[in-house]
Amino acid sequence: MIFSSPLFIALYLPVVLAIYYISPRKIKNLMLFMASLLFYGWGEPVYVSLMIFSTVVDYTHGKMVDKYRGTQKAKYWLLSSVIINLGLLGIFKYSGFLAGTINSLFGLNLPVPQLALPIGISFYTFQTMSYTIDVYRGDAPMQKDIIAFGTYVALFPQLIAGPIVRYLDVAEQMKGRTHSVDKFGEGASRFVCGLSKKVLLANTFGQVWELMSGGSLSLLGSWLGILCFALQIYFDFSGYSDMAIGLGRMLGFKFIENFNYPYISKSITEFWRRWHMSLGTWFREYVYIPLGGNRKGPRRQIFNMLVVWLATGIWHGAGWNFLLWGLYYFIFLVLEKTFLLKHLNKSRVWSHIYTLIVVLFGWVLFALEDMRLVWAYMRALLGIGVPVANGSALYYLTTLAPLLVCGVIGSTPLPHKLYGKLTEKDGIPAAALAGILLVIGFLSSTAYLVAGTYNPFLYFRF
Amino acid sequence: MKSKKAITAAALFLVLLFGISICFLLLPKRGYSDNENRYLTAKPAFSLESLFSGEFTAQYESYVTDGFPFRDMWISVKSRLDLALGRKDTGGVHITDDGWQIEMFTDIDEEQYEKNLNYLRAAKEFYADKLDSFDVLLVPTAAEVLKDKIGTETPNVDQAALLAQAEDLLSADCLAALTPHTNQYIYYRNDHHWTSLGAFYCYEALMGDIALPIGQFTQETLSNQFLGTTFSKTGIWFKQDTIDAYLYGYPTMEHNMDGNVIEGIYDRSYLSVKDKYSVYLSGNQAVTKIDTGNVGDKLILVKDSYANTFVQFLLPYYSEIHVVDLRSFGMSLAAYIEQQEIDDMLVLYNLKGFSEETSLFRITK
Repeated sequence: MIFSSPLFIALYLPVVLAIYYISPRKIKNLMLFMASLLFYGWGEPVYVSLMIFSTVVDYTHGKMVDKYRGTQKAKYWLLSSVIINLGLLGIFKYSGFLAGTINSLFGLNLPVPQLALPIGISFYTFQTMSYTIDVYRGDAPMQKDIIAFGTYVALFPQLIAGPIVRYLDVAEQMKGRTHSVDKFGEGASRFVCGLSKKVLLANTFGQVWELMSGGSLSLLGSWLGILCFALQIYFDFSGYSDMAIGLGRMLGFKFIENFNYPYISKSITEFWRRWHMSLGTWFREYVYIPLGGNRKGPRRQIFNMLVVWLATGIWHGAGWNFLLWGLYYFIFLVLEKTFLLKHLNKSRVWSHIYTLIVVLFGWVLFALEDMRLVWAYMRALLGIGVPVANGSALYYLTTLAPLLVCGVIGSTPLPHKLYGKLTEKDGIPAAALAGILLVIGFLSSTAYLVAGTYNPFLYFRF
Repeated sequence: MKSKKAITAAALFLVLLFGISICFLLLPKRGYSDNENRYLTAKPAFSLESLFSGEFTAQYESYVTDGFPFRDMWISVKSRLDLALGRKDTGGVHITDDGWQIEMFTDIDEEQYEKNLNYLRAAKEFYADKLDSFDVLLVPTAAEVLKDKIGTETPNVDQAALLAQAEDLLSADCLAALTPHTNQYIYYRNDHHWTSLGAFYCYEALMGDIALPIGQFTQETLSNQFLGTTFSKTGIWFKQDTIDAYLYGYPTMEHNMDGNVIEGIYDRSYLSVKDKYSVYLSGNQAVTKIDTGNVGDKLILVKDSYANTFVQFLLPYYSEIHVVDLRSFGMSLAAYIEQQEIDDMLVLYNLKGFSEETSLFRITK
């Protein structure tokens, strides 16, 4: 199930909220666990077993790591947990890609597994790994209550698109969280904000990206297209994070932030501190630092960065383009680390332009999985062999201009700052503004959601 | 401390959320959507089998989607929001400043189009010694003819170029026939079809010297409350459409050889439902035989819905007109032609529909 669907809005969310709040404290986690399994299993009922498997396996591993704390055995249990989690990811996400690659490299004919990717598997396997690692390191206590643990693993708000909540961040909340009107109201506003970002902005920009990348290319059209893709992926992803954080807040949780206006960055280094922060933190805490980070000399540091960025790339999808995309960022990050950063600090404008151009070209690599298409699109961005503009680019640029302006402004901290200023002093005006924005956001999003499913059957064109 | 802001947000959110779900649970569900011209998904019956195949959840999801409270209202809210944001295109329809809703034609399957032209070329050859004449008309859609209303730059395909590709087949240039009349009512405002008047101008182009002046037909307004398919896509309208008939003589029609002979070629029962365009020839039938009451050859008209409004102008020239929709025509066309002793063939489609058509191979079968 996804948040931005009529089913979620009209039935799932109200029913789950009602049951959750009616339930006595003791069984709140159980209710949430079951609701999360329903959420998870909705698209692929069989994969509920996978989720239960993950829960049981990691619960047991946490127990064992705790039991054998300080001995060699704890290390083995930790290793086993990591292997099982990465194994799941490997089987379900990468086996098809691997088999395909081996076949084409060696001219073999291995059967290519056609497994449907269980939704959110990249997110929750990372979360469950964080649990055993945190317990092993003594950063978080072992969770004795399997229901509380299962709730953490399956928790529907962040299940399918993050933020990747590390266990140590929520360990205490699993049992001791509180609920209040303040939290609920805050969460509701945040959820509606995220829903609007996803439905009103991301989906529209997505359509234009499809049109621009799918049709005949032009210089103007290719820039319009990739700008729309950049806005789409930002509003989509950060919108999901907002919805997750908001839903979590309504249920008494406090999740970490995941985005911090990445497009205002003035270097790639800064960009990655602002984009999908929970993933960056995860790789830093569980890969980069354990590998030695920057403590073992510059050569080793660059190697460690290479490992992290290849992993980051392939985490985003099982394809060569994602690996290249990771490598692409690795190169810019190393360049910045070695000399570029000093120069970038000199000019705010040029460093910002540099960052945006690197990021936009990066999105081409990310969005188009076929390398031939990537190449053609990059040539179009450089104006090689394409017209300056065509009818479709001009039409969509004109008709979308106001929305593009909204999108660009919306990806900066401006609206949030303005809203913060206007509602700084709690009172009737602040409440009215918050209320109006919530109602407008909710109703418009519902309209776009329902319209998106509105498929007049026009085959027999009367 | 409880903040007023949070209380307001919490309260409004709950009212909206539960308002929608309560409406969903309490309001009766429609079985059929006139606007979408399809049956809405019914609540699925639960079984373990359908659960594990994923069928249950998928169908339940479309049940909620289809049964979403005030479904038709939300679509119009969306279109209005789009317009308020300065967008002219919504749901594949361009809304002009003066309120015309024009169906966009942005993608073409070149291959299918070329294939279809070749089917017609083959048919022309195939029927060369079986029929006296073989005419083809491809009618450009409003996206081309009314393009000045859309603006100088559009993402639409170049229909003039498509027509040029078919030049060897076409008996008249419908684009040239319609272009001088773009300030007249030749396409509907809220539907993807052309009007009877639009059809008349192409009829003139086809018949040339023997075309009758429009005054020879008796004009009758059948409805002035027509909202068609482009309305269905946007949910909004600015002015309703008028459906005109141009009557000639006393024809009768019979659908699918069912023995039920109907007076006239207009099925007025459709005037009281949403799909009013079907007043012409009762919509798309597999085959309709029209006895015109006039003297002349027998014509077979192979067509899509654009031809339904064109037929009225053909009545003076033929004794019988057999209107065939290849999408649902189950017999051999060649055999039918022989059996009915047909003399002439006219093929008439709109360009967009023609380029998407996958049944044209049947024309020589």
